[in-house]
Amino acid sequence: MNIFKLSRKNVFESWRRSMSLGTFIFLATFLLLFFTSFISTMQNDLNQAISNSLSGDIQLRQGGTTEGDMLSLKGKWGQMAYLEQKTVATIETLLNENDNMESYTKRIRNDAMLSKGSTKQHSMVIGLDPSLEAYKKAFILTEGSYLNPNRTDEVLLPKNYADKLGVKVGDSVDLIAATKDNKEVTVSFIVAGTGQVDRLASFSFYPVYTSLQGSQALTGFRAGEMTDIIVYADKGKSDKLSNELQAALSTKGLDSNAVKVSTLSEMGGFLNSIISIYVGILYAFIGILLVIMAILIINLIFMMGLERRSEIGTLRAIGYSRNRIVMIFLGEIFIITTIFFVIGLIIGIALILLLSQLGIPLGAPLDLVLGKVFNIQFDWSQVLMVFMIIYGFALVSSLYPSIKSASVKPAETLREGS
Amino acid sequence: MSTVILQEVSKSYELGRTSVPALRGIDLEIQEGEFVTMAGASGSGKSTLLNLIGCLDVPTTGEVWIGDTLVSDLDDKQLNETRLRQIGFIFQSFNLIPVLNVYENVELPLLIMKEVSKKERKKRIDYFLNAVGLSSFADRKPSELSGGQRQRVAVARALVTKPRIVLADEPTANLDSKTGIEIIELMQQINKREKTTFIFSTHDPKVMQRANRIFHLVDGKIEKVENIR
Repeated sequence: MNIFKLSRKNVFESWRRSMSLGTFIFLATFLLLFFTSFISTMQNDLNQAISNSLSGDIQLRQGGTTEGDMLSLKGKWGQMAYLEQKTVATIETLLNENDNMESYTKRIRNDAMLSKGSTKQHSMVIGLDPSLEAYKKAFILTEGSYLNPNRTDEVLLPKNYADKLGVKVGDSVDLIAATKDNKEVTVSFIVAGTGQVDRLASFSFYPVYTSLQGSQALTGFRAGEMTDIIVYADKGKSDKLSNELQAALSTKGLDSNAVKVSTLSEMGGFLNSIISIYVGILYAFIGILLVIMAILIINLIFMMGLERRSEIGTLRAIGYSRNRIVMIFLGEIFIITTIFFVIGLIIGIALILLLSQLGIPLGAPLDLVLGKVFNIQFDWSQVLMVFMIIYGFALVSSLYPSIKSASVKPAETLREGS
Repeated sequence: MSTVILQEVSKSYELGRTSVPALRGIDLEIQEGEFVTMAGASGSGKSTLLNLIGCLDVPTTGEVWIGDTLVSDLDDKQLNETRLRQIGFIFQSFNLIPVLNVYENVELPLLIMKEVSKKERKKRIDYFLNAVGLSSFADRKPSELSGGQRQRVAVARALVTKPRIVLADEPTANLDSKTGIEIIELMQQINKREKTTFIFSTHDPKVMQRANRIFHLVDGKIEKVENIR
């Protein structure tokens, strides 16, 4: 027998007390695991949505522009930074030679005013290759169809813009913009479809999609001139690809002052700040749960100390040091924590995996952020964090009451016990 | 050779602003291998005296010597070591750990004696369980034993570390008189066989007559020392 056997026996003999603490450890583990997976999935989904609809995994643009300029939904009217035809050709050559890339597309992105009669609506127009699949994953159609690759005069409108302007699929709508030479142009487009960007509508993100040729007409760009090229990298290879591209561009005389290469994580500042509000609320809830768990542990150990004053006195009398008695208490908390942490982990993982298969159907307003069906994803990297938080809280909160309980004077406790 | 020496020992407890004297100017000397008792009525200071000898408490004034060690010179770690290696305790309420069985209760002090191997541990436990007549009860929990059996376990636990001194605070108080006498006889046998010094407290005249010397305590003072044989 070692002294932890005493801890183990105490845990199982006082099983009701162990259960009451264990229940909270189980709940904290389960909820922490569930919420961290929830947050991680939400973050990944939103990142995916913004990647599909706006930024790609990597964006190449003119040097000197900031990440904020390229993601901002309120760009500066008529002040366009763009890549020249030769630069775009160089980038395309490099991209075609790279193996870590899934696909890429050239884009023209500018600000424009939608106009129908006397009704106007400021918007961000994204001109792209209509055959690109990513924007179709992001833009959920409610009516009509996606852009026809054979037509250059079509637009996809967010449904709320279409409603505000009073246009339907098949109607024409004007776009008024300032060209790169700061001349005002008005171009008529046909509404091919209406819908909204998956998960991003609640963040007031309402892009208007059109073809590259449509955007050229609005910006005055010549063939081959682009505001940016976005790249969809192989999974987990964004950073590597970004570094490779920046290095390869430098060898072609295009350093970061000429062409800036940014990954989604580098660009996603505003997205993360929005998500952080949701994350904050969830972590505040977990924090309250952990504080309750800590109070329970403190209370439990003080109770154990009171109940076992005579036992502690006996152990001190036969030569056990205060530290050894503290170790016995900590041993009990460690055993209870381990048992219920493992149970919480198993049930949590099982439920998350089940829900990831089934999906959680959501209604308004949650679907605006989480999508119509939320497929929570389990992330193994969360387990280590949950482990550290639960064990850290359990052991830290049990330390003080254990020391306090073990610090009784043996003569006093023995006098009480006699 | 003196095992325990107390010189001018006084002990007071503070109760609010009042100081309550428990022991007043105790002088005593106990030789190695003696079988002595502290006799006196409840509140006479017997337990306080045993606590001081057992390094569980410190005197307000005076000196307590265990062998050639002055107890007040010891730090907390040394006090633990002294209690572990030099002193064995037997309590009135047995003070066994309820969740452990007989074998494990006896094993408890040996677990923290690093120099005692697992094999030696088992040998010692078996020997002392046999000595107290509880070899066949090793797997029982304290709740499954009679009062006398529980006190025998406490005796085995006190002896298993081979201490110089065994302190027993009213070891028969919670036992019927027949069982009480059996426990004292068991302690006497071990005293003779192992040459361990036994110091026990009692207010039972039948029990105190079993000692070699009786220190009669009245109101915290040694009123009389009686040599029996």
